[in-house]
Amino acid sequence: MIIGDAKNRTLVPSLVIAGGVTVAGLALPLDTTLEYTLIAAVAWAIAAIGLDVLVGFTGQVSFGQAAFVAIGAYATSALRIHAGFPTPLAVVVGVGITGVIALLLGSIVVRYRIFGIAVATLFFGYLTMTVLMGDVLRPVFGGANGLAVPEYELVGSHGKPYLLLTCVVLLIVVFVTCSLTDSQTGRALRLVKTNEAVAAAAGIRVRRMKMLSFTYCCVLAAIAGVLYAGVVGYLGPEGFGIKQSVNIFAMLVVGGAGTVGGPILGALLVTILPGYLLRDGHVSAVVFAAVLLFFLILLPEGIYGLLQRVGAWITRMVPALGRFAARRRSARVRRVDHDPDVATTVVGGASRVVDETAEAEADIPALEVDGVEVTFGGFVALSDVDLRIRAGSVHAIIGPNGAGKTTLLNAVSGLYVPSKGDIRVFGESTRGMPPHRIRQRGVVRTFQTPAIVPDLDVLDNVKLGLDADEKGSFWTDLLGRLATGRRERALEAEAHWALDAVGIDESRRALLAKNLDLSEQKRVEIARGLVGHARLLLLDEPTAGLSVKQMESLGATLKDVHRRFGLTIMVISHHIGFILDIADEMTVLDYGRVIGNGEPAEVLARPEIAATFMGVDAEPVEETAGTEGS
Amino acid sequence: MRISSARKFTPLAVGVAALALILAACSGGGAVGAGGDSDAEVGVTEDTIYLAASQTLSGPGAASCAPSTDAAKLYFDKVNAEGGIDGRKIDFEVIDDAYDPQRALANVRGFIDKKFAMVGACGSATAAAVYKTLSSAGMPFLFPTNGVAEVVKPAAPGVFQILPLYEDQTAALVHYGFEEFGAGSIFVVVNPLGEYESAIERAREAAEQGGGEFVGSAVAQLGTTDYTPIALQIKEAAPDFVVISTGGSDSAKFVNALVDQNALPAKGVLGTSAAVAGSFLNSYNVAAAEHLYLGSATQLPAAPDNECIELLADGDFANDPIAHIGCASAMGIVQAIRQTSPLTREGLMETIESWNEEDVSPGVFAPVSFSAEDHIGLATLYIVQPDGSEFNVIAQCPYSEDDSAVGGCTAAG
Amino acid sequence: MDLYISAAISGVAVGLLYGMIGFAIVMLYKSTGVANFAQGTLATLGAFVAWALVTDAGLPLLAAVPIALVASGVFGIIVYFLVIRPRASAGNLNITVRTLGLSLLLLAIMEWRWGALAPYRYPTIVHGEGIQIASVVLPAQSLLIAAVAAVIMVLLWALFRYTRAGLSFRALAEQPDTARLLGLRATRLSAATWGLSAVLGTIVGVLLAPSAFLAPAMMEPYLLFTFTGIVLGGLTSLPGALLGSVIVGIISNVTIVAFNLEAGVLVVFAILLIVMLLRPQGLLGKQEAVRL
Repeated sequence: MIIGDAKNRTLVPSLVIAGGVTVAGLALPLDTTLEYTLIAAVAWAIAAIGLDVLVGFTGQVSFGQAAFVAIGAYATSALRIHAGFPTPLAVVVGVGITGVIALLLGSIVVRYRIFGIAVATLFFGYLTMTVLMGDVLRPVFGGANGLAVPEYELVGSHGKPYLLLTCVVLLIVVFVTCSLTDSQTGRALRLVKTNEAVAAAAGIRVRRMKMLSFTYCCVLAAIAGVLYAGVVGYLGPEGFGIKQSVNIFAMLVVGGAGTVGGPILGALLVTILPGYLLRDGHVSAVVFAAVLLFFLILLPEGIYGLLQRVGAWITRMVPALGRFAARRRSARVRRVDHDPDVATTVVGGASRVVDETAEAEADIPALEVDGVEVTFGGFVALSDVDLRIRAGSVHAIIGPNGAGKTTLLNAVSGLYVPSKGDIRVFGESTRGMPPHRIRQRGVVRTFQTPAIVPDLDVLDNVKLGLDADEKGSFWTDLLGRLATGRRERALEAEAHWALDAVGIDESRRALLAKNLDLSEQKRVEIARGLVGHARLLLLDEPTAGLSVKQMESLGATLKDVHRRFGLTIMVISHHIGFILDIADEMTVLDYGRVIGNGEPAEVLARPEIAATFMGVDAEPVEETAGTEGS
Repeated sequence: MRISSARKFTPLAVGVAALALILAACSGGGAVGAGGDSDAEVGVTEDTIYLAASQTLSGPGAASCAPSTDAAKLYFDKVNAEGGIDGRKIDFEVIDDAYDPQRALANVRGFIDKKFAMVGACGSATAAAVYKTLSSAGMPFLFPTNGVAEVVKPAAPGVFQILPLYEDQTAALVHYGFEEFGAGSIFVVVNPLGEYESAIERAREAAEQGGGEFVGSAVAQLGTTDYTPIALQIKEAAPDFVVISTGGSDSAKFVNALVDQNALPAKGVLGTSAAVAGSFLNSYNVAAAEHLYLGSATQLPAAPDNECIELLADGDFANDPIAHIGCASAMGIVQAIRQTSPLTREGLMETIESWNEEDVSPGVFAPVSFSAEDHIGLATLYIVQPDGSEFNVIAQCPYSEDDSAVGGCTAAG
Repeated sequence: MDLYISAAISGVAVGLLYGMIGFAIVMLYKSTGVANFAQGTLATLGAFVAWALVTDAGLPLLAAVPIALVASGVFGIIVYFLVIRPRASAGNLNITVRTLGLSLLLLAIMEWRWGALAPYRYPTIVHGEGIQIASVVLPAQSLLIAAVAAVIMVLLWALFRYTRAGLSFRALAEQPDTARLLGLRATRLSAATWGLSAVLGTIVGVLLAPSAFLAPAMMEPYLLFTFTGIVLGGLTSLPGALLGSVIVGIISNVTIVAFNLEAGVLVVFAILLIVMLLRPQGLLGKQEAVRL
C-alpha cells in the first residue's frame, strides 16, 4: 500500500467537523484578518478534500492541485470580466472548462506509474504558471500584474455573508464526497488503490476509475478557486505555484488522508497558523516544514486519526458509550434479514446460477485452452498448452513451482495476452479481451494472496463482486443513501447470502477485512466470486497457508458450493489430498507444458508424473492415492 | 477495530469545540495593539503614530526586499530616540507576505482600521494587489517599489511613488545611450517586472524616434537558470545596445552570459534600476563594468553626510541601494508627517501633493515633485556604473512620459 | 541555422548539469525506491558549508571542498536515520513526501541563517576561457562539469553493475524483504546510499554555485527539469538520466531561441507526456514486470 488506510462511514464525523467550523465562524466575533484567513482556509479545504479522493481513496498522486484551483479561479473571473457572463453562468462554465482540462490531462497520466504522475502533474503546474504569467494570454489573464476580481453579487467579497456561502459550499462538498466514497463507486476506487490488477480482474475499468477520480479532484479544486477568487479580490499567478500545491498536500497529510473530514482540519492548521499566529516569516517556514515531517513520520493518520484514537480511548473509559457503540454495530449487521424485499432477489441470485448451468449442460466446455503460448521477453512461460474443462466439473491444475500454473490462470482471466493460441470461455473466444470484459463473461478468480481491500469491512468487500454485474451510476452515488439505499440493501442481501454459503459467521461480517485470519480472508474472496454471475471460478492456491483442518473445511465448502450451484471450478493447488478430495479431473504442468491429463488418482499413478514431483526414476509406485497433502 | 460513527462523533465534537475556543481567543487577541479609540484619526493617538508594511521577509525574494524595511525601521527608531514627531513616537510594524500577493492583501486588510499609513511594498505584484484596497479605504500607500503603471497612472488617491516606472526608465536610457554614443540598434531583454510590455514598447519608440532601430526582444522568467540562449540570440543580432529591465541576480547572470559568449554589444548595456542592487554587485563579472550604464533612482555613492547613509554606515547594508531607498523614503514620510497638522490621512495626502522640488533626502534622492495628477516623485534618473563593489554616478537624465519634452542629460560634476 | 546549433550545444551543457543532479536521485531510487525531492537543498547546503569554510574559516577552496564532502556524507546518513528510517513501512509515497518536507525544512533553515545577504559570489574551481564551438562559447567551468558528470556516471554505473555492493543495492530496492532474509544489511546499505547521495549533491552544488550564485533556493529552478529528464530517460537508468536530461536541455534551449520561453516549456511538457505514453518505462529504462 502506498498510502495509509482510508476510513469508512466518514459522513457523520466529516459533517461534524464542517459544521463546527461553520458555527464557530459565524457565531464568534472575528477580526477582519482572521475572517479573511478563515474563508481562504475553507476554500483550500475544499481543494484538499478533492485531493483526498484522489490520494487517500484511489491511491494516486497529484502535485498540480493548486494549478487547477488557479484555472477555475481565472476562467470564471475572465468570463465575468471579459465576456460579461453573469456570475452563476461563469461559475458553471469555468468549472466545466477545468473539468475538461482535467479529463484531458487525466486520460494521459492515468497510464503512468506513481512517480510519473507526480512529475507530470508537477510540470503541468509549472506550465500553467508560465502560461498565466506570460505574454500570449496577457490580455485575458493580466499576466504578471494579475487580475482584479469584481465582487460577487449578493455576498460581496468579505464578511459573514461570504463566510456563510463558503461554509455552505463546504458542507455540500463534504456530503457529496462522503456519499461518493461510501458508495459502489467509492468501493471500486478503494479496490483500485489496493491493487490494480485485482481490480481489473474483478471487472472494474481501472483507467476509467482513475480518470473519474482525477477529474472529481480537479473539479473540487475549481470550486475552491471560485470561492478563493471572490474573497481575495485579486488573482496573481505567484500564489498558485508548486509551493501551494505542496501546501495542499500538507493539508491532506496533517489532517489525515482517506478521511474526507481530515483535510478540513489540515487546511485550518496550515492556513491559519503561518498567516495569523506566527508573524515571523522564517520561524513560520521552519515550523511548517517541521510539522509536516512530524505528521508524516509519527502521525500518518493525521489529526483525524488522532481524534479517532482519543475517541476509542474515551469509549473504553466510559462504559455507557461502549455499550451504545456495540448495539449500533450489531444493528447494522442484523438489519438486512428483516427486509422482505430482499428474499426474492437472493433466491433469484441463486437460481440465476443454476439456470445458466442448466444451459451449459450442452456439450460446450466451460473452458478451452488451445495451443496457448505465453512469453515474457525471451522467456517462454507457457508453451503449446491444451486444456478442456467440462462445464460443471471441478478441474485441478498441479505442477512444480514455476511450471506456469498462475500464468495460465492469468492468461485465462485476461491479465496476460497469449502470443499464440486461443482461449474460449463457454464457446466464446476471449482473445484480446480486457480483464473486465472477461469478468463480464462470468470468469471470476481469486489470488494467491487474498485480494481483499484491507480497510473495507467484509460485507463491503463482498459487495465489490457485484460491480461487474449490477451497474450502479456514478451520479446517483453522489446523492447519498437516499438515492442508493434500495440498491445498497439489495447488494447487502446478496453479500450476506454469499457469506452464508462460504461459512463466515455473522458476527465477523462487520469487521475490517484485514482483521480476519487467512482462511477467513480466502473465503471472503470466494464469496466475492460467488456473488456475481459467476460461471467459471478460478482459484489460485486456495489452500496455501492453511492448516489441515482449515483445508478440509474449505474443501467441504467448495464441494457444497459446487453441488448447489453447479459452478465450474478450476483450482490450482499443491495439496494432493485436497485435490483428490474435490477434483473430477486434473492437468499437470511442468516447465510451461502439459505433461498429463485425466482423472486425478489415475494421473498420479503414472510413473513419469511421480518422477516429475519426486525426482525418482520411473518405477511403479504402489499407493500414490494415499499421499495426504503436505 | 471498527468504530461506529457514534463513537467518532463525540471526540470530534470535542475537538471542534476546542478549535472554536482557540479561534475565539485569537479573535480577541487580534484587537490588541490598535490605535483603537482615537478620535483624531485612524492609527494616530496622542503619543503614537502607527505605521505598517507588508513585506517579503522570507523566501527567495527576501534578499532584494527586506533591507528596505529594515533600513526604514532604523530611521524611525532614530527619530523616536530624538523625541519623535511633535511628541509622538512612531510604531512601525512589518508583516511578512513571502511575495504572495494574496497574503499581502490579507495583511493589508488587517491594517486598514488600525494603522495610519502603509509604508512601501516590495515588488510590483504585491503593490498591484493591494493598492486599490488601500486607496478606496483612504489609507495612504507611501512609496512602494513598483513598476506597474496602473498603480500610479491615473493617480489614485493616497498612492504615491518616488521611483520612476520601468517603462519611463527604458525610454530615458535609450535617450542617454543615443546622446552619448550616437544612434544605433537596440535589443531589449526583460523579466516580467511590472509592465514589461510597455517597457519594451517605450524603448522601441525612443529608439525609432531617435533615429535608431529595434532588432528584437526577449522575456525571461525571474530565476532563469541559463541566459545563454538569449546571449546567443543577441550575438546573432549584433545590436549596438542591449536594454535590460531585469532583477539584480538575473541581470548579473545575463551580463555574465554576455561576457562568456563574447556577445557584449558594441556601445553598451543600458539597464533600469531593477538591476541596481546589492545582489547584482555581488555576482556580476567585473570585466563587463565599463559596458554597463544603469539607471538609478538614488545618487550613488550617496552623500556621506546624509542621515540615512550615516545610519547605515556600520551595518550589512551600507552599500545596498535598496536600503538607501528604504531609509530615504522613511525620511520623506517623516517630513510629510511633520508638515501635516492636524495629522490626518487626507492632510498627509495633500501635503505630499503640494511638494515641488522637495528635498526629502538630500544626497540620496534628487528633489521630488508631486501634484494632484502626478503621483510619481522623481523626474530624473541617475546613470550609474558599477565599479568593484560600488556604483558611481556618471550622469543624470531627465525623463517624462512625453519624450519630446525631455532635455539633455548632464554629466556628473 | 548557426544560432540553433549553438543553442543545441549550450543545451547539451545545461542538460549535462541536470543529468548530474539526477544521478543521485536515480541512484537513490534504484537502491531504495524513494524519489528524493530534497536532493537540490542537500546540494545547496553542501555548497554553503564549503563557502562558509572559505569565508569564515579562511581555508582555501581546495581544502574546504573535501571537508564539505565528508560533512555532507555524514549529514546524509543522519538524515537517513532521522527522517527516512523511522516507520519505514509507511510506504513509498509517504517517504517521498517526507523528502519534500525535508527540502522545505532545509530551505527554511538556510534562508534564516544566510538568506539576508544572498546571493553570494562563489569561487570557481577552474578559471579560463573555455572553448568555442559554432558560435557558442563553453566556459571552462562548463567543461569541468561535463567531465565530472561523465566520470560520476561511469563510476556509479560500474558500481551497480560490477560490484557486490551495487548488486546488494539493487536487490534491496526490488525485494527488500527477501534481501533482508538473505542477510543483506539493509540499514547499512540504505544509510550509505543516502550519505553518497548527499556527497554527490555537494559536488554538484560546488560546481554550480559560481554561475548560479550561491543562495538558499539556488537549485530550485533546476529540479523540475532534472526530474523531467530522469522520467524521460528511465527512472532506474543512470545513462538514461543523462540522456533524458540532455534531450530536455537541447529541446528547451532550441525552442526558446526559435520562439520564446513559454513555447520552450510547452514543448518539453508535450515531449514528456508523449514519451511516457509510448514508452512508460522511459527511453532506457527496463520494463518492470509485476508478479501477481
